[in-house]
Amino acid sequence: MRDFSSRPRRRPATGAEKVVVGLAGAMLLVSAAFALTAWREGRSVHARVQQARAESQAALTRAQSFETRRDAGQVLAAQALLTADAPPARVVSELARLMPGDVRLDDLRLVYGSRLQVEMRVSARVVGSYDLFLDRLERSPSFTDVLPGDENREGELRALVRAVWRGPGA
Amino acid sequence: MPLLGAQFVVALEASCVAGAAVSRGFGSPRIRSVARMPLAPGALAVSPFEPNVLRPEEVRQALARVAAALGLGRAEACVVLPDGVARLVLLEVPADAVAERFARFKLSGALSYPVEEAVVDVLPLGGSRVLAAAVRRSVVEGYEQVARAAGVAQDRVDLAPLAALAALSRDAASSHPGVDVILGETSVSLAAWLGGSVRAFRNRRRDPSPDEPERLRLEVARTAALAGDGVKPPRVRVLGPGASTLVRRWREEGGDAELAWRLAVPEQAPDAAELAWLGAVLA
Repeated sequence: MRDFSSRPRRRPATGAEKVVVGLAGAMLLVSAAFALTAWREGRSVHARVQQARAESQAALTRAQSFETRRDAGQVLAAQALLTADAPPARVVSELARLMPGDVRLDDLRLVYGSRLQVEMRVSARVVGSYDLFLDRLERSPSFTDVLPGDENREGELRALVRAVWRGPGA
Repeated sequence: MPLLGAQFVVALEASCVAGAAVSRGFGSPRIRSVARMPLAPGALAVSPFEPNVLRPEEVRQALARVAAALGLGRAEACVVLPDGVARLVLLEVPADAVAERFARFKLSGALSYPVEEAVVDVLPLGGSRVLAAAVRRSVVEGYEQVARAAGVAQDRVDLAPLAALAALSRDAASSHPGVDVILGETSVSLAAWLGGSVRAFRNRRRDPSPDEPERLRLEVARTAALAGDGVKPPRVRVLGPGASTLVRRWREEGGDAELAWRLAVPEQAPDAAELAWLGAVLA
């Protein structure tokens, strides 16, 4: 119906328009339902992923824990074994046997771990005696991984030597 | 208390404010009541360009009395503006065009004010033909304001000639060749029907001189020539204020004319054919 109002009323919707709006509304509802289902599925998948991640992390932590414990156990066992097998007196005795007369043991540090680390400070009156000691140490079956450290060759020679105890006459 | 199931219409003319309550049942519409309040000269001046309601308080009072007489209450009423406020054009709308937009496009060059200020609507008149009308927004607003001030809840706004033609176009007789003369106080419209559609439409301001009835008769005769099918003379239907007098005079002069519609109206009410604006609730 014609209307010459300065602010015309909204035209009532025709039947076809109502049908279109109804269809659009129905499609909107269906889309919303699909979206809701997808969102729920997404949340579920996300939760499962998180759970799997957490489980994986827990497994990794447990594995690392076992590894650490195993290492610690091994180290402890080795320490126990080394302490029994390589008492300090025995190591010192072996070193004393290898040292020339004018080489002196100033300091000795034994670190019991999976292996027995031997760290010593020695003084030698002449350089040749020190070199001889190193040579004997490297050749000795009781020691391995001989590593000469800092040296001070001014006057009396002072040096740091590291080695690993392999066992008596091994 | 408003009448149950009734449709209300209020119409404004230069000389009066009128209204009716019409009930629609299963049969033909029934005019339950008609009210009319005169306006002093100059209270309302019909113009397509300038504000029409010159003395709003007088018009408001008349409108409020009409509303009260009809028992309008809070019910909505169609507000009918008089002929003479709008630019009217008969258009053939292309199949791929929207009638209202096409009408606005066609009327844009025919208005003496910017088309943006126009309220445009159309009345379908058979086939692809529409009667397009443009009313200046400020003119409509003047009527709306006074209606609101009178406590009349506005349903829609219609134009008297379009309302009349809409009701006439539903009449089976409009399928026969003929001319409808829709009288207003300040303007007159003529529509020539042929083959169920309006072939020509004319709208002009009325001449207040005594020669106007004769001038109108000649004009109707010329318009009837457009509606003639060569088989029989086209019938002439007249509607609006002064229709009864005009028809009687033409008949006395040997012409053939009839009142456009005959409806039972309450006592004291003018002949329904004098009330062209009734078409707003009869269509």
